[in-house]
Amino acid sequence: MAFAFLGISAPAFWLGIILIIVFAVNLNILPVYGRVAFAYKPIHITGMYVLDSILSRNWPALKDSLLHLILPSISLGAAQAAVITRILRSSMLEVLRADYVTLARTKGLSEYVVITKHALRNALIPTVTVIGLQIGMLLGGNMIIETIFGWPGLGRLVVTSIFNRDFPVVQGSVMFYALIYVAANLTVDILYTYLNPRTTI
Amino acid sequence: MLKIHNLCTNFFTYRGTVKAVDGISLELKEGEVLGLVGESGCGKSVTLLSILGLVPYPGKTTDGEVWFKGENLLEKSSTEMRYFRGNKISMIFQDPMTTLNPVFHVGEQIRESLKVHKHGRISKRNKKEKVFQLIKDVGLPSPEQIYSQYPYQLSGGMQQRILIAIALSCKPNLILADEPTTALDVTIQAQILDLLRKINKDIGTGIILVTHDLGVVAEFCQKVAVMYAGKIVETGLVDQIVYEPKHPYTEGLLKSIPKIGNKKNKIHSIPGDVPDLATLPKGCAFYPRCSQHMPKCQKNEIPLQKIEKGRQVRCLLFKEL
Amino acid sequence: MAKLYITKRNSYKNIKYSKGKIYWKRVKQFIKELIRCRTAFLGAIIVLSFILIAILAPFVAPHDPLKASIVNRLRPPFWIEGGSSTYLLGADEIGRDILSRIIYGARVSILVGLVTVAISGFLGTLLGSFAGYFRGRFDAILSRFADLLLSFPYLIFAIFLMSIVGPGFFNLIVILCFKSWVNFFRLSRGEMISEKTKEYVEAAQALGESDIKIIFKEILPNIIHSLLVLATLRVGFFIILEASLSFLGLGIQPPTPAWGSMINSGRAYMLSAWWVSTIPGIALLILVLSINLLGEGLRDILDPRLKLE
Repeated sequence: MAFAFLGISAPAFWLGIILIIVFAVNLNILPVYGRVAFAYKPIHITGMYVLDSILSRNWPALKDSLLHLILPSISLGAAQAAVITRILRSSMLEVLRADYVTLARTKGLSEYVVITKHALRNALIPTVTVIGLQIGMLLGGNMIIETIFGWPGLGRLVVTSIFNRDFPVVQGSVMFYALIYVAANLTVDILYTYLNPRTTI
Repeated sequence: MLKIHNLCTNFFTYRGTVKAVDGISLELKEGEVLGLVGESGCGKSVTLLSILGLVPYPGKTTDGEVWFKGENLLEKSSTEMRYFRGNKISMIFQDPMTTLNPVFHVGEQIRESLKVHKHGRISKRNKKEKVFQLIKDVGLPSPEQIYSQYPYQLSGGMQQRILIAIALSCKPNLILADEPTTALDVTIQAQILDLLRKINKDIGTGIILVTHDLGVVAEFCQKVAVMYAGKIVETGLVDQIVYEPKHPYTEGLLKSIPKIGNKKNKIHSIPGDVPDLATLPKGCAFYPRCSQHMPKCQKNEIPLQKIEKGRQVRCLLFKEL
Repeated sequence: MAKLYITKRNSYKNIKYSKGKIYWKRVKQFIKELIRCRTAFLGAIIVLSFILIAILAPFVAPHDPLKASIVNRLRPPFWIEGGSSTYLLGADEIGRDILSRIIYGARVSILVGLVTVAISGFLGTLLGSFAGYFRGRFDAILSRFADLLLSFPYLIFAIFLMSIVGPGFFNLIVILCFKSWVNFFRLSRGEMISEKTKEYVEAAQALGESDIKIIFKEILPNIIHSLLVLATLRVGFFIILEASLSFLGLGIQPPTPAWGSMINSGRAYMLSAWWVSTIPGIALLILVLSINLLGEGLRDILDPRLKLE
C-alpha cells in the first residue's frame, strides 16, 4: 500500500528524472535515452522495435530494445499501477464482507480459493473499467515522459504541431485519440459481460 | 452428536467488548431438530458461525468447547476445520440472493462443493449427474436448465433450494440453518420447511434452525432454546415451550403473536428495547423489560437452572429441581 | 452474517437537541475518528503545515525567492560538502535559494489545487445532480459532452488550450476546470441515479416536496461523502498537473517560483547539481502523498461510518 501511495503521489516526470539519475548515471545499468542503441537497430518491419527484433530473430536487438523500455515504462506505469492497486483493494475490501464469501468458506474451500476464485471475480468488475480508461490514456501518449527519455512519440508530435499551428496533424491525432478511447471502452464493455453475467451487450 | 459447552464469542470493537455469545450450552442428538429463537441481535447467527469457526473480525471465540462426534471443533486449526465445513456440517443462510455468488451459475456452485470434499475421485461427468440428482432432490424441475442458470435468474424460493442443495451435497450430519425462511413469503416458507423436514427424515440430518418466528419453531422443531442478549434463557421440548412458557421473555414472545379472530385486544408487545450488548447491566439482562422483575434479579449473575426433566430456565422466579 | 445492534443509551431521550448541537457533535466525532486513523492524521497534519507555511511565506522563507546571487550559483544543500547554512537546501542555477522558492512555490501549487477542485467540484456536482435526477435530454447532452472531454489525454488538452489563451494563473485555473468538472459530474450523476431509486426519495416526493428541495436536502447529504473523497484526491492530481505544465514552461511563468519549472530548470544540471531538480520534486511528493493519505483516511472514516449510521 505504501508503494501504491508513493506511485500516485510522485509526478511521473519527476520519477523519470530520478530514475535516470539513479540508474543510468550512478549505477550505469540501464540505458536512458532513446528506444534502442544505434548499432542494434533492427530491420524495419512494423516499426515497433521489440516486435521487429523478434520477427527478424535479432536477439541482441531484442535485449537492447527491452532494456530501453524499462525506465520509461516504470515512470509511466508507477502512477497507473498505484491507481489500480487502490481501486482493487477497496473493491476487495467490500467484496470480502459479502455473504457469498462466507458461504464459500462454509463450503470448506481453502482461503486461497475463496479469495482468488470467488472474491476476485467480483472485485475485478469496477477495476476493469478503470483499467480500460487507463489503457486509453496510456496509448494517448505522455508528452513529458517522451521528452525526458527521448522517444519520438505521439505526445511530442501533437504538442509540437500545436505550437507550430500545424492543424491537420492536430486533427489527425485527435481522431486517433478518440478512436483509442472508443476501442478501450468497447473492450472494457465486452470484458464486463464476461465477468458479470447480469450484463449483456 | 453435538454438544456445545459454555461457548463464548466476543467482538472486540473500539466501543467496548460485545459479548455476542455468552456461555451458551446446547445438546443435539442424531437426527434431532433444535430451534434457536430470539430477536435480532441476540447472538443466534454468531452462535452458528462460532460452531464452524467462521466468526468475522473483530470477533473471536474466547471460551468453551464444541464437541462434534467426539472431537472438539474449537481446537481444530483452520485446515482441519475445512474437512468439517460443507462436508459434515453445512450451513444455510438467510438471504439467498446475496449468499449465492452472482458471477457463477448455480450448477457450478453446487459442483464446487462436491469437488472440494470428494477429493476429485469422481469424474467430471459423474459430478454433473450428481448435481442433477441433487437439484431434483430439492424439488426443482428440469435440472439441465437450472444447472446453467445464474442466481439472478431464479426466484427466491428456487435460490433457497439451491442453497439447500449446496448444503446437502456431501450428505452432512448437521445442517445449521440461519433464518432460511425469513426472506421468503409464507407459501414458499412452508415448502422449504417441508423440504427440510424430508431431509431430516430421509437422511437423518440433525438441524439447528435459527429463527425469530415462533410459528416456524412450533411446526418444525423438536427441541427449542430461547436466547436473549447472548445467553440462553430457556430450553425445553417444543410442546412445553409453546404451551407452558416459563421465562417472562418466552411468555412475551408467545403473547405478541397476533391471533386471527381476536379483534378486541391490542397487539401485545414487550416494552423497551434490546439492550446494548457492549454495556450489559449486572444480573438479568431482561430486567428492565420484565413485568415480574424483583430487586434481587439485578444483584448477581443468574444461572441456568434445571426445573424439570429436559427443561432449563434462567430466571429467579423458578426454583431449581 | 452477524448483525450487531448497538444502540445509544436512553439517557438522551428527554433532551431536545437543536440542529447546531447535532452538527457540532458529529464534527467532534469525526475529528476523534480522524485522530484514531494514524496515517490520515499524519496526512492532515502535513497538509495543514504546508498550507500554514504557504500563507506565512513572507515570514518563514529565509531569503527572497527572486533574488539572484551569481556568487552562490549551484551551491549544494547543507549536508553536502560545499554547502552553507544560509542556503539550507542549496541554490539553483542563478543562485536563488531553493528553500525559499519551495515555500513560495507551495503557494502556487496549493492555490491551484484547491481553487480548481472547489470550482469544478461545485459546478460538476451541480450539473451532475440535476442530470442524474431529471435525466432526459439535458442529461444525454451533458453526458455525451462529458465523454467527449474525457477522451483526450489531460495534459495534451491543457497544452492545447494553453497555446490558444496563453499562460497565466487565471487562464490556468480556467483551463484546468474546463476538463475537471467531468469527474464530479460523473460521480454525482451516478450516485444520484442510484439514490433516486431508494425509498426515502419516494417518501419525500409523496410528502409533496419540490424536486430541488429533494436534491439538496435529502439526497445531497447522502452522497457528499464520496464527493468529498473524490475532491481530496483530485487536489493532489491537480497539483501534479500544474507542476507538469510549469515543467513544460506553460502555466505559471518564471520568475514566479513554481515547483514544476524548478524541476525543469534543474534538468540541465542533473549530473552535477542533482538537488536543483530533486528537492522540489521531493516537496511535491510529500505534499501530494499527504493529501492522498488524508483522502484515503477520509474514505475509510466516512464510508463505514455511514453504513453504521
